[in-house]
Amino acid sequence: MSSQQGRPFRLLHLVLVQVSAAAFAGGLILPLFTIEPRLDEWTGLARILAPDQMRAQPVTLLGGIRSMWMGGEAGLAALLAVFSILLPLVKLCLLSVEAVSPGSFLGPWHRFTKMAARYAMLEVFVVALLVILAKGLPGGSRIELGPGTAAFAASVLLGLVAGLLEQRGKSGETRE
Amino acid sequence: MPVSSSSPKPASDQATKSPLRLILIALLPLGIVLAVSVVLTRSSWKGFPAGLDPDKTYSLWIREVEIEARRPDGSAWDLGNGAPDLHAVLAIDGVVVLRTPVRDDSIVAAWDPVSIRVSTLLKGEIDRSEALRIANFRPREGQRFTFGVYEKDLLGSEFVDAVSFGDSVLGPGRNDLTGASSVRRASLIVQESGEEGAGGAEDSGNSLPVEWLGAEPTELKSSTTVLEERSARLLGELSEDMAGEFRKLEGEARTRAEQVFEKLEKGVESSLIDLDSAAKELEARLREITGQGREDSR
Repeated sequence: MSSQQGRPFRLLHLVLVQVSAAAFAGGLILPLFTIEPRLDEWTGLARILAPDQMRAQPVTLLGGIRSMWMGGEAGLAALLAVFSILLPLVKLCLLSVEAVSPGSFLGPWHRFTKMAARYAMLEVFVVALLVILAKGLPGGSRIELGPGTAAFAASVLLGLVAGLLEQRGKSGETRE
Repeated sequence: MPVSSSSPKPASDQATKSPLRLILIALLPLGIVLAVSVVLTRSSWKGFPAGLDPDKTYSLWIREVEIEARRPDGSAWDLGNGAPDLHAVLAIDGVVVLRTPVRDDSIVAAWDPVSIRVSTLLKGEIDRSEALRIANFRPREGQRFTFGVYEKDLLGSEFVDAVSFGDSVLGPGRNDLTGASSVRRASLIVQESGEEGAGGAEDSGNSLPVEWLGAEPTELKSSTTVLEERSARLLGELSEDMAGEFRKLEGEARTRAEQVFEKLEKGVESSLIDLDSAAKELEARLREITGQGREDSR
């Protein structure tokens, strides 16, 4: 694959990375899920008597990490922030550069890209989600997934596709 | 940043590898994340669309009213240097749809959208709609909202101030009405129907500088005020009617009395004449009798 032939390929790669970044922002800001507190047959009465306690609580990734931080669980909040926010961001930045200039990163940068890609994965996000869920779930309540979950998942999937494109591009260039 | 290139590249590729451009490209996703985050934070995705949807029904309730500690002339609102006893009224399109209960001695009066009456509790069954102190409305063009604040006193309610505005002013969430008035701030909460009192809505506030009317709009006048005014008008009309009737009766009575007096006068006159003639007759008779007696004695 020549450099001229690879240009649309790189462009697609770059666009995918940027779309992934936009979806990632959605994953950070939009509600991942909404907790709807319920008390079986007492739900109606509880909503009347204690509306603030019974309100539906949308949970965002940023909000969850912030509430953990404020709640004195700084370590866990920092861990989640690194794996759910920082590493995916770094990965997106590195993928963006790789899309425009393949092979820019060698040595420690390349290893860091691989590491970031490995840990900024959906599994980590799911673990983060479960941790937040387990922390905030009142008894007998219902959880509904929000658009943030879809956005985050889309970001991760697009990042994977971009990573695959990058590898394909590299293998093409090697064959050249 | 180590840059490697094992094979010679075209000039355009070399250009893309300039460090500044690479840094910019590296920061591009970060910029996108920030931009999208800002847009999403400010837009409707957090649960409230900007503006009101005409296809939806909304609930509106009066959350809070804050007024100046003293009247504009510096005097206290209530007797004994007391704080005002506040209550508020809301009308939509000229019809009163919501009245709050009175909050005694308050400069900041707050109300909850949920309120359960003892009578409702005693019924043994509570319907959510019965427990809500809200006004429902569906936004439409040209809709007018009129909001007034009152101070309850011994004799009734004293008007504090009012404001009138269109539906375009209100937004979902908390709407803080401000402006030059004795009413420093009035918070109205607008929330999609079914979510009343569920919180959240009060977190997002729209500050709305409005022009307070300074005069009580007709549509806000309370039923008692209207009743008082109507009663006063009826009483005035009644007193006018009664005065007319009295005047008529007085005339009739006077005529009757005059007639009676006239008759009486005539009667008395004729009686006096009769009495006079009877006395004369009696006198003549007595003279006749005394004359006869003298003759007999002789």
